[in-house]
Amino acid sequence: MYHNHGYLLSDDFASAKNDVGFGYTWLHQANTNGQFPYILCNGNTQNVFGTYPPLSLATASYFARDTWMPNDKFSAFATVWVQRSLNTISTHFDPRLSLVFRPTTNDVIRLTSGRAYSEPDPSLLTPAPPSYGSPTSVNCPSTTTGSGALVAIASEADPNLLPETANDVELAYGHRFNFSTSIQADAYQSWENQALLSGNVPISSIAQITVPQHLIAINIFSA
Amino acid sequence: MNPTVNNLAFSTTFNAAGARYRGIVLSANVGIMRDLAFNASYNIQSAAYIGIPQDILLQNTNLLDGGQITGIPLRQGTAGLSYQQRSGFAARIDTTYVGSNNSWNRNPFWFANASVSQTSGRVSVGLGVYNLVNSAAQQYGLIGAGVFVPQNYYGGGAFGGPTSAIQPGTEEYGLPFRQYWLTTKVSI
Repeated sequence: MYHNHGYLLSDDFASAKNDVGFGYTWLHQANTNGQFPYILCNGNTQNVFGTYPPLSLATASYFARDTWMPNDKFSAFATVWVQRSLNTISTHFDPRLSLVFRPTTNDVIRLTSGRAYSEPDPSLLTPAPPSYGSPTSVNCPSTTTGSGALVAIASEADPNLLPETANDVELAYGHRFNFSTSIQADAYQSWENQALLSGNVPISSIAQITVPQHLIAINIFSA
Repeated sequence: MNPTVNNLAFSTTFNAAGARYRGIVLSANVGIMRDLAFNASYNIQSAAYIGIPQDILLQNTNLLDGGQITGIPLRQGTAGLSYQQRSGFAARIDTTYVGSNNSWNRNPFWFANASVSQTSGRVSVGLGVYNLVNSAAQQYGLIGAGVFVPQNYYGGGAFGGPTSAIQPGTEEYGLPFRQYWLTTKVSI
């Protein structure tokens, strides 16, 4: 179950060929998961539907934008975001610029470039009791290195994860033959940093952590 | 074999590499005749992780440094026909092509969805069919029937490679069998 709320404060100043705006936005999402049967932190199972503590995702951002249309054939769109990821305690500067050129009334060319960031899902960040699989079915290989040497028996979050960031550039072309027939071509490249990879780490390399008490609390609807 | 501390692991997520995505998307909308239109798109995407540390490659042999990311097809496409009458009747059929290196561990395949609907006033009734011709449909995953999933240097190749098609044990997944959807929408 997702519960989203937030607010946006902005203002725009429009003129004949230029629209300028700026603002501030705050967004929050709470994600609540439930399960039947409910598995307690000690591994015991109860035949009830229970909800886990909600996971939160919050972002606070300042932005400024400008749309410039000097004539019928050319227009430019610029946006600058300064975004604060409250979950990862990191700040991101994300500008984006689009240049649009219309050589004829039936053709349009667009060049866009910018930066962006993407936060890890809160379930990947939040320290919680590891969710174990079925240890009775563990079938370890005969080797301790190489292919399949590690057998994952549980999944765990990493509170030190950072958002993925990306620099991208895109060139697009569109042509309209008539009111119902058109073609588009789009080429893009995106370089991503801090890419999030899923994988296995040896149990021996995991440091012990203390799970916050509020994340251990459970809500059980009915017995 | 009995598990030891050297065998057991947690699955988790790392910030461990860069990634490069490059692609071309071609699409078209064609009005064939009155009320009938054709649309199609073709997508080529190169997706690769760059600079994965050796210790992560060692422990996650399906991660390829510089190779196409497992589960992201290089080629995908869609094609569809839509029929829309002014009286409120509409019908469409959409096909999707999924290239190799897909997350179903299958050879390239395609599937089709279709729908018809009738709108009268504020009421709209629609019938949709998912996976119209049961393409790539199967009830269970088939262990050992999946295509070979590439591995990095630390994978099976380091030990001479698999000696049979069963050895990699790749599980082939499928789409659900044909499903029907009946929807009614009332605009207030």
